[in-house]
Amino acid sequence: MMVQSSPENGSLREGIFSIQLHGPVAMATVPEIRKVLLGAAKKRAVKEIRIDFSRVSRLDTSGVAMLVETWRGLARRGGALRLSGLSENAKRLIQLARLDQIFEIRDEAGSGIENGS
Amino acid sequence: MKREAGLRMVHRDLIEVCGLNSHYSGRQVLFDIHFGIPDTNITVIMGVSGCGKTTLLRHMIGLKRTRPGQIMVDGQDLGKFNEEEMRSYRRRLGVLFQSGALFNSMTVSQNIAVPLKVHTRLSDETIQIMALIKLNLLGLAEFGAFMPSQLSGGMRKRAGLARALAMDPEILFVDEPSSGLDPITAAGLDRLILELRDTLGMTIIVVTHELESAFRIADRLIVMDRGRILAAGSPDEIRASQNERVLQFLERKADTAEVNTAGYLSRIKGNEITRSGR
Repeated sequence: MMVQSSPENGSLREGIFSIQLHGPVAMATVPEIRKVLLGAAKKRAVKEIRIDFSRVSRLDTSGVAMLVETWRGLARRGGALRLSGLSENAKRLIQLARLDQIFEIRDEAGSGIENGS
Repeated sequence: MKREAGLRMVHRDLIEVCGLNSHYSGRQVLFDIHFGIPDTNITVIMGVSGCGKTTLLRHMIGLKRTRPGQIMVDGQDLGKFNEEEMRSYRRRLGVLFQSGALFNSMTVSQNIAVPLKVHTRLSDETIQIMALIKLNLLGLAEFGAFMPSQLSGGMRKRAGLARALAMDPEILFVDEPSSGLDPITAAGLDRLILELRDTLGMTIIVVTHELESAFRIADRLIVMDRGRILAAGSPDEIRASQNERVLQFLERKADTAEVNTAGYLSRIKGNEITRSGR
């Protein structure tokens, strides 16, 4: 199993935890990525999580479910989950699950991830 | 699927059936079947009851033994798969059987969770959310805690499809999706099958005798009769077919029954059945 996302990839700045995921975000990789995201979502200092999907090759339902868990962790404290760089297929999957109503989705790849804006 | 210059989408055959013959108790039920299943397409296999379409499906999902060389998956010979290769192939499949095949002792959500608990390392919470997403997809978000016996026939069918989708299968086999459903529910299921192809890029094989549904969803149609393929092509090509049996099927004309009156009367009279009356 190859997990290309690791805690080292994430960075925390001014209450915003930013992370860029790589490769498939699917059943085989979700357990490891989930640890990183839920770990960040539990931190008091984290007000917002930004995830860049521009290097993600595939997102499946387990990945979407993991995003819901992350969002739940943040929403309890009034935090937000922002996604960017999603492929059209990934966006359609999120829309099909009607979760575009709770996630904040930005079109441009990497928007706001690198510069924390 | 790959994109060629000029943006034409080219679909490769994910599954190739090459000269499949099949028997039940010594009686041949499939005769030299040849066709391909293009990836990310909906292929509909249709024909009257007993034409062999469900047997064909059982071969393709590995439930009925196939001789080497008769079905290829990604260029690999299904008939030569060892146990591990067959398990690995089945993990790529979702199957909705005609009956729905739910476990009656479990709630609908628990039913959907079964394959995820068996085949993945996902947490219970992730699995619960995945089950809810699948149920919502099928319009059953409110019914996860229900037992299958508490659902209507149409809802059980949709719950069965939710379970077939649990593992985000690459290939989905659906046996008679519309049977026993009212027209509105059946149309909703057809729309969902189209959405699964378009959104998740699934390769879908539907077995049905429902004409309206078949033409609504098919990219490619295969018409079977008495264990043989009568015609194969796009919906337009099938509509234009001049084959007498295809026309009979499309126009829903009843068979002229071949009645063996002598044999019937012999049985009625309780006489010894003659050779011709068997």
